[in-house]
Amino acid sequence: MDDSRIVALYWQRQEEAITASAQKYGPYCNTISYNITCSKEDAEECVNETWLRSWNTIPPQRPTLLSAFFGKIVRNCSMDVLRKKASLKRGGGNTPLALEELEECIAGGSDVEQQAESRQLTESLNRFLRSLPQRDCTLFLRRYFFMDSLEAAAKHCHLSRNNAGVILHRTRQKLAQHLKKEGLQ
Amino acid sequence: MNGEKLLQAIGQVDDELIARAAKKERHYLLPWAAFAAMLVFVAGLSFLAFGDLLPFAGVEQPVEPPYSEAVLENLQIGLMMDYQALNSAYERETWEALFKYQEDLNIPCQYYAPTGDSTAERLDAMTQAVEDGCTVLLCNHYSYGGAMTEMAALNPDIKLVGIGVGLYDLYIEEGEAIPDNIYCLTYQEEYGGYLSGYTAVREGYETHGCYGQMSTFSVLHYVVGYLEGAQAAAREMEAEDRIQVRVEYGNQFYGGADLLEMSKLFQARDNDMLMLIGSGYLLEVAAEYPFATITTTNEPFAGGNSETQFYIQYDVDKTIDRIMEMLLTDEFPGGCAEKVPHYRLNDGAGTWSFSHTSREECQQVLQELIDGTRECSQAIEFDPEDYTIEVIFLGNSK
Repeated sequence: MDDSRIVALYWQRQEEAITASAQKYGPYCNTISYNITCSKEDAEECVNETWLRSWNTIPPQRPTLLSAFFGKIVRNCSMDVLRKKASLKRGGGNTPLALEELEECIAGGSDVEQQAESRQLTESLNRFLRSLPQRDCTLFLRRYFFMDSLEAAAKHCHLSRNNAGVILHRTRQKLAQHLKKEGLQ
Repeated sequence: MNGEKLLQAIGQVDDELIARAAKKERHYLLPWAAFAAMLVFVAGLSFLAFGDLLPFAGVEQPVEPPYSEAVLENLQIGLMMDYQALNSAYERETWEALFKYQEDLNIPCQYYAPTGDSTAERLDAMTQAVEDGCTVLLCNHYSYGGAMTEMAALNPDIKLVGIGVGLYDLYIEEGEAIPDNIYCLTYQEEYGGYLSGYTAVREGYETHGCYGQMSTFSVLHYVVGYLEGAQAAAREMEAEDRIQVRVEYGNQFYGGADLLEMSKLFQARDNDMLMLIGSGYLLEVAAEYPFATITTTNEPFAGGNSETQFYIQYDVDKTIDRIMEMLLTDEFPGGCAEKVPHYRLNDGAGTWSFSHTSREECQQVLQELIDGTRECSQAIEFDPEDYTIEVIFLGNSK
């Protein structure tokens, strides 16, 4: 079923919307959540929560890209679960490593919250990601949005693990420079 | 926690960027692999039809796209739908699978539907597609057999692909060769049946009702496959003396008020597992029944009283990928009709919740069927006496 039909079902308040969402995006959301929580039960709970939040937000929202819409919800939900369970760094899955890698981009003791609103950071990230070659952008998001393991992200982009590691390292360096240039580091 | 802040911000980047990264990359055979495959094909080894293509997710192929700009420039695809079937799940999935190639590779695709249920009207729709510039027509129903044969003679430069179209659907005389610009594929029904029967027994069901909508060749293949799969699993579990399968045909193509009666009939026979083979209306029966396996329909299952469903569906994505690989590598296997094993097995929710059978085990079973290390007859008849499980043939229910 295409996305517009699924969204239409939500607007019509038909419960089939959730069945259709689960059928098309269930495994996708489950993978994201599992990557973050490293727990089958938590992932299942987050995916169910994703359908519930979607039901509560469509309408009034009318998302055009459901993969991104559901992806963001399940990611946020999974991060919340992880936060609740323990401090983020002690969490399971691919999150601690991804976090450690990213800290080099905003390292140096500066407090991002004091320097820029989260929205500014996101806008800056959008600009940065759009400046990247498509493959590098996809690799970056596979690793840090979908929280794929390095192997899985490399596989998605048809790269070797080493090659993906090198590209990600360079991308992080570029990001650090980009954030510095925009006054966010 | 600056890293966390950044991680959070990444979670809010533009949807378009995320959607693009979410997209599965397409996989194509490396040029050498495609070349080797075609050599084997030319050598006429029929098993190539199923080589290295599994009907489950997760099969990776080498990735370098071997297609050339010249091939891409000349590709324009018309998807010929079945009459009044635009809204069926099968047609929708086919269109969506094809449309990805328009999105990813800018190959123009358009779907067409005949205005009536006749060969002449199908031919009109195909002619319209050719006039619109289509160089390839994917005909997505066996009823296109006649129109494909006529179109092949009228337009020898147009490639015609029949999905679900068998040799006997074409209007050619016995012994006559299939035209060079026609390639047909049908699904390996007995494999779908085998996987159902095998998994059902492995899941612990002992009394099975096997209901075929109408005893067509396709349904008979499924039935025989089911019996053989059930027997194979029973043998592995040393449970042959406990397994019973009752086979019955509905002798009708349509649904209606007698569906519920049919369901009650099944209940009365104390089946604890039901195999339903036929079109979408059987989903209504499945919804009334605790455990059922449904096949030959791609309609989503929408609940009911069912606790567990074994849902065998055509793996349309795999089929379209297979056809597109042939077109993109400019290796169109004209003059050929073959069977493909592209099925996907899920539960009713579209996931995998079976207790005693893993997805990998099912993959393995299918691979063994494909490579011939596990046998499955292509027969359309069976003799209950030939089975070591108990098989009871009840004939037509009406």
